[in-house]
Amino acid sequence: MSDQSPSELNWWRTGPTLVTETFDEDDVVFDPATGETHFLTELPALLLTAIDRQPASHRDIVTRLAGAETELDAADEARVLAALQFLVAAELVESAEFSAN
Amino acid sequence: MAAHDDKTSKNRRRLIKALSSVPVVMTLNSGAAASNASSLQCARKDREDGFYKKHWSEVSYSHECNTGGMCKDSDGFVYRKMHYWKGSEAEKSSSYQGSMQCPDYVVRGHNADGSLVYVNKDGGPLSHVVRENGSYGDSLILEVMDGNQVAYRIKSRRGYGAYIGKTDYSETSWRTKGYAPKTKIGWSTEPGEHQMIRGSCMNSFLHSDTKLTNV
Repeated sequence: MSDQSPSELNWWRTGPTLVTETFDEDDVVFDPATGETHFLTELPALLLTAIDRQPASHRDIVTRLAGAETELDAADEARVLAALQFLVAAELVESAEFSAN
Repeated sequence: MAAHDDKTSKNRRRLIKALSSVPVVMTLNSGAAASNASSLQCARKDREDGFYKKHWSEVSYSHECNTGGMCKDSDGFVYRKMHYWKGSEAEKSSSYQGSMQCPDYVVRGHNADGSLVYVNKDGGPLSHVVRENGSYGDSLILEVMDGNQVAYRIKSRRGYGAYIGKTDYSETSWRTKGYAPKTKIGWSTEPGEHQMIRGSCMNSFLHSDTKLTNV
């Protein structure tokens, strides 16, 4: 895990295709890379749909998802970052600090 | 372009709604309590061991499923849709009294020797579990502990589990000890005998009514 502040991180996923099914209140995601099944609430599930192999900041991910005109206040940004950290902890997403190049 | 805009607009509304909820990610461990390795690693090892690997094919499907519920993902791995149970305190039966917390998820899997085991979402085994049929087709799990009986009515849901490996999913079957291709090779006296994935490989989300027989 990086020591960088989450707001300075890039996020991406390199694993195989996830198998996802949506129920009433959960997304159920099977990760063939680990053999684990994850139960996601709406925010991490939504963010996961916008994360691919191309590293992106949390703002880029929100833009991919909801368009460039979407603006988040500080509290919303914190929620997005918390959700991304959940995904990293579940090994569904990887993160590292911004590259300078 | 309009479709893209519609999707972005819809996602924006979903994002605003999602930001009002608490982000939670819960993980159900691979293979429940019985397996030390992930089912995929286990399946891969089985696939790569010995000369039986020649049976496995590299035909690519994209989440197609046969009538037996065997599916193949875009990476070529076969899996089977299965069921798991999710309970809640609200679904707790009023017929019984007790102080135990209802387990969030109950999964029925197999021990390495093929015997059944019920586990909670943390992979810990539930002891003294007796399953009965609910009145409306739901599963009812009755857990007996310290002389107190606590009943939970838990609806089954469809999940995913039991990744098998790369094979031709049109040649699949379920046997009491696990998955096996139907095609007989070598000197086996039983179809698929040597390709059978052992019980310890099974990452089972089994509906109580699922019968592990040939499909």
